[in-house]
Amino acid sequence: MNIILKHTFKSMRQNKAQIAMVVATVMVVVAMFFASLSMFDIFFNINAAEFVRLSADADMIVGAHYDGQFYSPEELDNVLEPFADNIVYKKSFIKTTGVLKTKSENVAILVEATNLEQYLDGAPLYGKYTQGELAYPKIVVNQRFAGENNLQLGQTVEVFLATCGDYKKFSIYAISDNIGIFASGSAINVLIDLDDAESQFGLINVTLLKFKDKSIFEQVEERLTNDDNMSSISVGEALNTTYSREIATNNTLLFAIALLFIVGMMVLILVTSYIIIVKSRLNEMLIFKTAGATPMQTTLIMLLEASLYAIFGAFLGLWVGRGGMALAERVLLANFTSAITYQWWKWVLAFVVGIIVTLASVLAPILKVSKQSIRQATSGTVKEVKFAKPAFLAVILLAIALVIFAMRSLSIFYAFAFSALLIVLIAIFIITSSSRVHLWVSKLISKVSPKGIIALSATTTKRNATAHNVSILVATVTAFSFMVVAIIDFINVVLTLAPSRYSSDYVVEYRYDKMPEQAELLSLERELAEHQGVDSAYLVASAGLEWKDTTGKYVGADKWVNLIGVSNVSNLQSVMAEPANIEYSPSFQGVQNPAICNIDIIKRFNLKLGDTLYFTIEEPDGSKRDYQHFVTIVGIDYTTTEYDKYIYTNLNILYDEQESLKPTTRYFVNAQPSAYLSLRTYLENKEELGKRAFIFKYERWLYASALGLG
Amino acid sequence: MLRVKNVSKTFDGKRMVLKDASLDIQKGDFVSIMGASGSGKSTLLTIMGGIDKPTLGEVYLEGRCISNLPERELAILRRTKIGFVFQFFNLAPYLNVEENILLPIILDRKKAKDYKDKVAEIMEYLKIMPFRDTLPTKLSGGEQQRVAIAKGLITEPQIILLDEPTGNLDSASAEDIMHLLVKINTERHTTIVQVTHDEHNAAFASKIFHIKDGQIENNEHNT
Repeated sequence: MNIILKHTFKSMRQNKAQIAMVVATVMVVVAMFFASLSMFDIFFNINAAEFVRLSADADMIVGAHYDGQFYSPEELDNVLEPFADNIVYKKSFIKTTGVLKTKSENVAILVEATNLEQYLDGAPLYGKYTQGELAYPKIVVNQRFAGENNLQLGQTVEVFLATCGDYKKFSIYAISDNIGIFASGSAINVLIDLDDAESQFGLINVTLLKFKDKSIFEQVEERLTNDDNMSSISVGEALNTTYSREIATNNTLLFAIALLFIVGMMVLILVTSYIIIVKSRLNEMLIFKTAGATPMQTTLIMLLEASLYAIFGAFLGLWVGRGGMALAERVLLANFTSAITYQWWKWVLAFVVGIIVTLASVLAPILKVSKQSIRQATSGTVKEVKFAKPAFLAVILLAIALVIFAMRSLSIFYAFAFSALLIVLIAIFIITSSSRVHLWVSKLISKVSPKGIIALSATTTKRNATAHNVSILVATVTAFSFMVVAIIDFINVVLTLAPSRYSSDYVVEYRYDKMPEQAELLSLERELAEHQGVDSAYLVASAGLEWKDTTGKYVGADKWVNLIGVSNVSNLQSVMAEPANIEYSPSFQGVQNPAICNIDIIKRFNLKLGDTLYFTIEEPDGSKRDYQHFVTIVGIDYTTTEYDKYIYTNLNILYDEQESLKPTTRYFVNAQPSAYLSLRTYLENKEELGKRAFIFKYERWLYASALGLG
Repeated sequence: MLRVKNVSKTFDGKRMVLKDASLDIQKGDFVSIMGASGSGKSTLLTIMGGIDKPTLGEVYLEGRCISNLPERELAILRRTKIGFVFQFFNLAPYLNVEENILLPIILDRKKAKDYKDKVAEIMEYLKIMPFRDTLPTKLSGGEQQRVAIAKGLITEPQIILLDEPTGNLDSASAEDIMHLLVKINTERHTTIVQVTHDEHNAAFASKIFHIKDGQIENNEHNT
């Protein structure tokens, strides 16, 4: 073996800690980069999988997948009559929320009713089927759902059907594998026959159409939207790839920003680690120099060493990235519409990027040492660290604040550009401030342990550049750790929707067509609270409407807010997950319609305590008009995430416009576990509620709500 | 062969470490540069060997000015025409004795196998053959300096510069090394320049230059 190569291999045994850090850093860079190359596939499939599950290979959907408006199938046939020869299939569905009642609890479900025999002939389900006679109509559930709820073949279950407004008994006919209509890992759906849904007049709310020639799509769409009887029914692509692609692109861009931060921090870690490594290699390089090594040769020797770390780290990174993606596939998506692809170029690109990032990062410290003359390298002078002036640090901090502000205000594409600037500023701040922080820390520690290593490290000759490098490394690793936590949090938000802001044991959902009287709602709140084993019950009624923006700055979803009516805003914290995070204005008692806004609204709309908010109502036909009530901000809720916009106010103002607002009502109940079944019986037997109040365990309800089944 | 002409050196622009130093070294000379610690003798040696550059003045090796050569050319000079032996920084810790001696050859992109006989000859000459496969850390200080000298000799340089070569050795080992240098000088006609603060070791040379506060005070011929 070449003597220099042999020496390099052997000298690598020194600096084990730094080398481990370099290899681990390269590994993370490559793993993240490799994952990012397939992240679009993940995001796209997450969004598209649900469409595919519901729409199979259909071209057009007439209606909506969740609780869409009902219509007559005969009316639809009339409209489609001119295209009859061009339709491969037409599948009619009723898709509506329901409640499956097991012995131990209620489960919110999506009831999908269709011509069961025809459907199963066309799309056979793999799984277990009953052979014997069934006591009740057939119901098909999926394997995961059956496992979670301990359901067996042939078992009788009760399902509340919104179509008939009552519970109905079914026998479990089949437990399907999680494929086809049961493909989505997140779906909690059951399949029944259309006739068993007992829909009035045979109305349906979803039809899937498959055309021989897809070019007729626009003609069909036009005819449906112009038809008097069908014009209010939504029509669209069955598999909305455009929508999925848009979401996936935005999420991927956000992920890329996160990745940019990680790589930026990683580069700083690599540079600092390598400064330490080359300093410890200085004696060896001096030996080579005195033996006649040119600067180029010493550079190549050290680059060779760095390349070995890069290759090893990149190799590990590829497998860590691939393993991470496999885990993500398994956890996030039970089945894929199109497999996530790992083409050869992704492996090569991630590997090459890892090597390039590493070598580019270590080049500066290596060149610095290589260019030094023997005399410079052996001069033995201790470099005193330079302290940045406080004014300079203040300017950098101000610049960071401005860039963050700009990133929050600008669109995602500009935010991407600004994030690079932010990384540079953060790096400058870490490099320039770490020596001062190091000095302060060591001074502080010197008061406790004056002769300790940390105390001495920032005094006299020990306050040198090496100590400064270690400070930068520690600061960078800390910043990186913080960033990783923030990014994991971000990915959680992207993938698992907004976390709940409430805290309770159970949720009672009250489903109605017309909002009951306020006294009735409040009476139920009292009754629930007084039930045996119940500690508290809290009424929450919510409706969506738009913030009346006079600036014209906000459009679309940015203006959309949830107005939540509660019996008393002053004790809102009793139901919140983080009650201490609510800040009340001291003078809110006399305010007409007091409102507590979450911090997202405050920031987004640039609001403050005491401001008055006005709203716009959007009618079903798309027209807009002013909402007759206004609210005044008396408090801020800091607990909510930035992905939702909520305003809490008094319940009564939701009544006047309930026809347009269609508020939903639920009660958060804190109770002993033993109270659950007696509460369920109580709600079922209370005639005034008309069997339309259901109690769910909180986590189950939260999950169903996230899927639009709440 | 080696001429130092009016060389001055300052590191901080204020204090002169060397002041207008001049000296001539002829081929085959064994020269000692003597002085107290901080007198500027090591600085003079590094300037003579192209390791450092003078602030003023020039250094000529075989009539060619080497004071302002770029680092790359100086490196080539060090591995072809000048051998160096320092008190420290001499041997690569993870290479055995033979590999250390071969290091300048490898760095000169020559094949090690072509120098196998020559390495053996030098090791025999310096009596270090038994340590051929030994790592430097397993050797005594005197043995390490012998290996360092062997490394300095492998390229057959015209001049070997030694900076306190016995500074880290006991008196018996130091004496041994000095006799070895005399042997190399007389038998191989290699020019040797050493800096030392030890009068006894300095006396092994044929010429002695005294340096004080950066100035060469006198030179004497040692008989």
